[in-house]
Amino acid sequence: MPTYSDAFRSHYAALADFLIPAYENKPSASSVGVHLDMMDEALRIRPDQEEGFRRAVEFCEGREVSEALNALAKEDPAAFTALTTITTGGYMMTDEARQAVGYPGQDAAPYDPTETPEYVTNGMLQRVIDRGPIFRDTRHLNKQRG
Amino acid sequence: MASSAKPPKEADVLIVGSGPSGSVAAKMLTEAGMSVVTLEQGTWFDPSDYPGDKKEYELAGGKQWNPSPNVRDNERDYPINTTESDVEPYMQSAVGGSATIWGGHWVPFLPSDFKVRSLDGVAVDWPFDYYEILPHLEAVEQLISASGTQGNPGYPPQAAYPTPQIPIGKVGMKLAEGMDKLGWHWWPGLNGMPSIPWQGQNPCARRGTCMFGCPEAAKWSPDLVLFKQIAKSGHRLIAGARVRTLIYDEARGRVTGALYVDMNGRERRQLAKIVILCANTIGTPRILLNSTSKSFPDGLANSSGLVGKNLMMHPFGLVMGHFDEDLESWRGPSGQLINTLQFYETDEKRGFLRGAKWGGMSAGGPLSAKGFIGAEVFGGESRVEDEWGVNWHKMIEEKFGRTALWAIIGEDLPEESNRVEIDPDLVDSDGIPAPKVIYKTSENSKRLLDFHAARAVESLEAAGAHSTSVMPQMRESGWHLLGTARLGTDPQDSVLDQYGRSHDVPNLYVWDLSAFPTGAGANPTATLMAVVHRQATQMIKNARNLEAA
Repeated sequence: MPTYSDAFRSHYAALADFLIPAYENKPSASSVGVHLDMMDEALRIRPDQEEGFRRAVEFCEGREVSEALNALAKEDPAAFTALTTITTGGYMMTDEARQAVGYPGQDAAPYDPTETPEYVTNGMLQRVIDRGPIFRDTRHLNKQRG
Repeated sequence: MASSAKPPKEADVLIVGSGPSGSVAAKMLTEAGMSVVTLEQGTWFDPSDYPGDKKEYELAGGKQWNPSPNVRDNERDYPINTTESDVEPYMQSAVGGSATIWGGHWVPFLPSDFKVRSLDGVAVDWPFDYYEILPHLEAVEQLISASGTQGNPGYPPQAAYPTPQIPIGKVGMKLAEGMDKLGWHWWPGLNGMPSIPWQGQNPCARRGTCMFGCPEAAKWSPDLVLFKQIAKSGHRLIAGARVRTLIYDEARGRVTGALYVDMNGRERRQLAKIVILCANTIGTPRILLNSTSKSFPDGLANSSGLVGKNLMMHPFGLVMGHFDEDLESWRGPSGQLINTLQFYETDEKRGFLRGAKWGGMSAGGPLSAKGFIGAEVFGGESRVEDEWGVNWHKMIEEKFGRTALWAIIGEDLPEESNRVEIDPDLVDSDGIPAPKVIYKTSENSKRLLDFHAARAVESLEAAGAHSTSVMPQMRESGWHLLGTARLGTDPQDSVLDQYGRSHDVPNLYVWDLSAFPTGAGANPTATLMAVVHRQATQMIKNARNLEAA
């Protein structure tokens, strides 16, 4: 896996914070390490995005962030997609971001399959049954053919 | 895993492909006492490798666990030229085939699906009907450890499911409330996964990651239990075996086996008295079209010229409703929470024929909150600031966990111009010519999706959604591929007879979704497995009279 200089990471941090700034209880991208270990982790998982990601950061280097990102989105949308994919992907893998948005991950939720569902007790499902069959039957076609 | 015994030099039956169709065939024929060898181009997956229980789940889903072989680009995948296709076809190369990444939505076709010519004057009727399939459907529902609720008025009465209903969750309940207010049909989701430990499968844990593989080993796929069981009865599964061609004996007019390339790149030969193709609707015509001979210069079993033709891919749209309350809308199964057949049957006043099933589903994790990410959000004078910065946080607050969606699957009518061919240049990693898909979404499909999307919006608004998002006819949606070697009664108008046997080559069968003459507006796996159960039952019953090499 390629290595990235501190300067590259620093440039990227500015872009990432523009895309995901601190807001109310939500941390900014750089405050959860999106430009550090999370960048490495996101690129490990998505090596296919590496080329576009590098291109995006280098495109924006030395430019005003808003102007640079708007130009990137129009001139090299694939690189912009790589940048946002790695940034949001890295961000949402952190405990801090997940906690802030209330996401426990795709957790296993215990349940009781024998519990009577609410749609049974409140009569909703019975109303579907009471409206009767809605499929078109075809047995008459066999009878027509004898 | 697979039996370590050497495969017989000549098997009674050679099956190509180990997905839902190949596995049912392998199980039934092996248990009937036949020697059966199955060739599978993919390898074994370990459920602990699936990303669903890991933090990288959504990010990994964009590449290595993407359902498109063109995106994954793994060595075991074959490339597909889709430059002339409106829809990107999905599949998986693995023991268990695409069932390793199917959603587990168990939606049998309806009676009308088998008789669209008689009822609606379009396409063709099947040579058999729903009621002939029903006992086979009930048998495979036991096999896959289905969970659900009996009594759906969307279908004729049938036997109960082996395991109880999985909870429909807050999302399912919200969707059902909208349908209830409108007086429209809905029913708790029937799924191909148990709610309690059953037949070696674990209960569904509601992670909602079915389409990226089930890390719980709950969702049915053939690799979990079936192939391990029948290995004990002598079934031989050869993984990493990529079929180059079938072997055709001109003198006898029979197939005698297949040439395949093994994991080490060596070409091998497996002989068999009977060959059954279960390599999916693109893979099967690819093998047939690559198998040319003096008698079949345009591809094996192709005297009708229909091998590869009539490709159907269900038109697919998403309609999302965004709600004020927290619905925990990352929670599964995914899997269907509920579904509806309210607008399934033809009503010509709508301006199109046939209909669609809607599957009520969870909306995924935060990266899926918008339905898509990246540059495609920019059009016209839009600026990055419109979608990012504080607005990105606000979008997550508004949509993540608070979104319920309807996945609309409509019927695609067969057209010969929609087809699979052999690409003149493209090859897979073993040098075998690869397929090209030529597919255009029909006007009927577009009208169908527009109508259904509008009704879905109504139902979400009735449920209390403060806003809705519609994603009509997505390109990335080719989950269901059907029709490229269809069965029928007329050899001029079909490739196979009603038992899935080639009209041209009497010991060659196609039992995958290629054989379906029409595609219905429903997820096809339930009906596929039921039809294979019927075909295998007939083959066993008729074993003494079978044509063999």
